[in-house]
Amino acid sequence: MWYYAQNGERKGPVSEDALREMARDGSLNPTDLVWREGMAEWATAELATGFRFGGETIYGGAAPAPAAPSAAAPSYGQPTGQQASPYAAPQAQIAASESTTDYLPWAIAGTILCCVFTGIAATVYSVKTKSAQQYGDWAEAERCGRLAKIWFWWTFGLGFTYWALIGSFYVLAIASAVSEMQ
Amino acid sequence: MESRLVPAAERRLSILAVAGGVVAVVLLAVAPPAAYPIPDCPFHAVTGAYCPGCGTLRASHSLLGGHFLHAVGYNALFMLLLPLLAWWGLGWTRAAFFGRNWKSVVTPRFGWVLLAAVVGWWLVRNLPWAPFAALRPVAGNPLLG
Repeated sequence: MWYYAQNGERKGPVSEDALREMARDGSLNPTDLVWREGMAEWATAELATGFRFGGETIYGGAAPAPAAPSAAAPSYGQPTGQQASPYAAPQAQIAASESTTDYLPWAIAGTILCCVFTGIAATVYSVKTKSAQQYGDWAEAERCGRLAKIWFWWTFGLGFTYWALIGSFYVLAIASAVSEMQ
Repeated sequence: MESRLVPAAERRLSILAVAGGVVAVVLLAVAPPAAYPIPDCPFHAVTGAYCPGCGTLRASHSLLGGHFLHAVGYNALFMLLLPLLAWWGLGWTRAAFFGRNWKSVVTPRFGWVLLAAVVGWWLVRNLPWAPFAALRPVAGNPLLG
């Protein structure tokens, strides 16, 4: 069961299917905050759900910014009755997490195209970053994001060197074959 | 929002990757591997076992030559992931070109499935029993004839 926040109000609970339908028909924005049991904090719908929004690429267009909560923003409170005020605090962290680079494609490609071990490490930390974002664990997301970046750059550095060497081997071989023909 | 930019280093990287891809395609198209043998994968050279990527270069070459089944024979996992990787590459490059952030719309669960597929593929193609020989990029693989 999901809860979501719109116009300063907590709404829900709704089922996952109902929320996905809302994302599809545009009544839930990618930047709306959502929460479900097990999440430490509210998180933006685009990070927490991975739904498709309004049938378009969500990261392409400029999403309408959510109404910035003022200091006096209402605390939605988590439906479990915890005392936490999950809305105001995570705004900065959500902004930070939205700018986190997603290295997963590069990590998978790197694993297959050159460097198994560093590639797998990069993949593990990319997925862990996504997972932490989904559960609103921003400290863990930042930690894993940093490690994903480090392993990604190792993979990229090794892979680039390896393929550049093979590429130059080919270029030299072809060049010498061409010059022999003449 | 400025925070939506793909970091500058990563943006340059996608240009490098596209350029590298073009060079690779040209080289593979003009150089027949019979004349210019493809170098051994370092993992295979050291351990004698196949890594998940062994055969990728030969698979790319076969694919460019239109030999789809040979390509699958050399590295079936690569062929399976190729459409996904191409789709991701396009998304990333487009986002980088327009200076936007990009995220693969993938759930963590799917990420773990991908990882399991890669690691599973790695194990299975090194099993010494008969049916798994078909997964290795060498003679004995029925797809390679």
